[in-house]
Amino acid sequence: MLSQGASSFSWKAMRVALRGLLGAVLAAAIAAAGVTGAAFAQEPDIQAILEAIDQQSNFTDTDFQSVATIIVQDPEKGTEKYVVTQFRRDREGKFLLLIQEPAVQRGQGYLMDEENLWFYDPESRKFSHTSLKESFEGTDARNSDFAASRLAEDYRPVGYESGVLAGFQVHIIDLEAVHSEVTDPYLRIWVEKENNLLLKVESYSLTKRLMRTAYFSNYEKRGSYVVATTMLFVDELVAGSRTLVTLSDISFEALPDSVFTKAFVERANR
Amino acid sequence: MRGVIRIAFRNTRRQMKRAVLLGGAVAFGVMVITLLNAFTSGAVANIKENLSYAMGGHIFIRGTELTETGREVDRIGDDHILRAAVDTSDPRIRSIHRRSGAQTTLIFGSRAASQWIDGVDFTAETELARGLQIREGSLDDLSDPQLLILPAPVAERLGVEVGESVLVRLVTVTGQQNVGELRVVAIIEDTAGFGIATAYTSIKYLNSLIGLAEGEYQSFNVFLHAIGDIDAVAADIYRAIQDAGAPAERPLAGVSSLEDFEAQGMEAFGAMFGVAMEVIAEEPWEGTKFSLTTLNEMMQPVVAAMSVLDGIALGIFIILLVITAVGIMNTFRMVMIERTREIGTMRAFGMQRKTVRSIFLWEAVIISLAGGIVGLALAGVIAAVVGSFTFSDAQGLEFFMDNGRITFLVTPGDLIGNLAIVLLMTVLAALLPANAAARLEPVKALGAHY
Repeated sequence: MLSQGASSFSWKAMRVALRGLLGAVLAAAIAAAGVTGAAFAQEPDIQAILEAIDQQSNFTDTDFQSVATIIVQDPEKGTEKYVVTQFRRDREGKFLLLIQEPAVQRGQGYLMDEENLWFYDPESRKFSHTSLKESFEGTDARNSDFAASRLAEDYRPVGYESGVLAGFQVHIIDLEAVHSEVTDPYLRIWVEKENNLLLKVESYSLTKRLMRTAYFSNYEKRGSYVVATTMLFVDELVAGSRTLVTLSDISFEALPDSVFTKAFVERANR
Repeated sequence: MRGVIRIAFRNTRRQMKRAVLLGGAVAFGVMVITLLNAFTSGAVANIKENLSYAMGGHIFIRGTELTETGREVDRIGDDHILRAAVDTSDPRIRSIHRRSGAQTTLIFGSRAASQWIDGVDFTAETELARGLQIREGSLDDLSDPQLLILPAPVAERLGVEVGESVLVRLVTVTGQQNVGELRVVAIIEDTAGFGIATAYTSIKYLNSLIGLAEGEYQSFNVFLHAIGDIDAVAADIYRAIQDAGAPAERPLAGVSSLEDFEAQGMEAFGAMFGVAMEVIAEEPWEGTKFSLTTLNEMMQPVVAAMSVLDGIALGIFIILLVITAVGIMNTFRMVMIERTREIGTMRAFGMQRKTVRSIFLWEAVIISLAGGIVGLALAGVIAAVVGSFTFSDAQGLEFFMDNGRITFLVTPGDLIGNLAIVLLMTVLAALLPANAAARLEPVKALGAHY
């Protein structure tokens, strides 16, 4: 049993402690609310960002044409160069790639017609079925890299932070594929805040291993559209393997419907 | 008849040198055609055997299912129909294997190589380990699910050794990119040849990489005791699957030309190797659609190519025989002329024309039979000698051989057919001189001077 003096001391101490504890709890709650509030106020509408990326890089009301120069660095084969003419009609899900260089492959083409991607070989004059998921001519670029962007449709955000990349303020967004037919199950993307430009994309496998990093270092703006004119794809699995794609001779002029037909591809080789 | 044969035999012995020369020409032709036929038959048999081990069976049943978006994926989820269709108590069936497979890129440092990998249940497929030729490493412990058994050419290309790990990049059945890691436990000889040797890992791990759930797989392989039963067993299984009401197809059946094979065979062949095709099903179905192919169907282009070889060999054989036949005809003309007085004497003693003709024809038969038998014997000796050598450095030809040895497979049909052709040609060649000898008038023949 405590003495009166001791009782008074312990009760007073307890009140002080309780007050201190209450104050700490309140302070923490306020701080947490402040942080949450700040976070709530700072985290952007990620879905809107993805839609913006898709919108400005998908040419829905115009056709698109360019010449792509592709430099491949392979640790075993050395350096190879491809020159490809690219035609796109995103509103109909069509594109055509015609290989101009190297000379031995001149005339080969990839024709996307809605759901089907065809490879044309002028030697055999035959079309064979291929896939967007396949790599383009064995490079680190994929056939799908030349097609329309579908980030908003194929992915959902699972993580976000703000950061800096090469001096630019960026959104760093983790994405997860919404279904099992999307080629890259996981992405981490760096998006420049001011203009929603994709600066860097890391592609991860189902086992969350980094497979490929894509860097978009140059853009050209045409009206409401932006075109990535320099893209570097780095194979993160095969040391020393990378592909540089540079676009030039960009045009948004309307293309004849016949461009996106097998007949056009065959005629282009006569 | 016996008297005629005896006389013919005696006449042949009297002119032994000539008979030996003619018989020798026949023997050479028979030896060549027998060796060629035996080589192509042996090569086809070896290819089938090697392919059956490489692919894990003689009859292959694959399943295709539809995703929610209507895309076809290579997968057997529910196999109760197959288990009911394949009677494991059938004495023709040796074993049943369930496998998955994927076309992958193996990566080691800065090197990459394309490689087909089969996922195998090593506890069930004990024969596989026994059938592999180990160059390095060991198959004593196959419990690690991330093990890799790698063909030697790929190991050399990657510069990887036993105990080291490689990355494996592949695509799931729905087309997603995935990466795993495998540890090399053994390096095996590439007995299949042509760079199509299979690498192996556990089916459990491979399924996890390609997006298959527990219990799912891609290929239901049936191994038979005898290759000759393939078509019959396949027909029984196909009928049973259809009777069970499951959709089924025979993608390679009825392929009759290389063009047909290209048109439909390669798509099915690719499907057999589980290449994830972005195919939208034109007519949707429920459950699993099964497709059945056999080793015989896959071998059709090879068999067709070998038939061409056989045809060329037959052509050469006939040319040789025609040349020999001309020689026989001339020789028998000379014999007829030399024996004119003898024929006249025999006719004067009452021998009939047809008997004279028969004696000549029997002489031809004896020469060709003797030549044929000698030719077969020579072919047998050469086949035995050549077949005893091991050609370990024969790059690209391993698939035609049995562990580096050439196999000569003689079929009774080929033997009898070739001998029959020889007999026919020599009898035809001797017919004209025989008829001429038979028509000789005894008086004129007796007075002839040559």
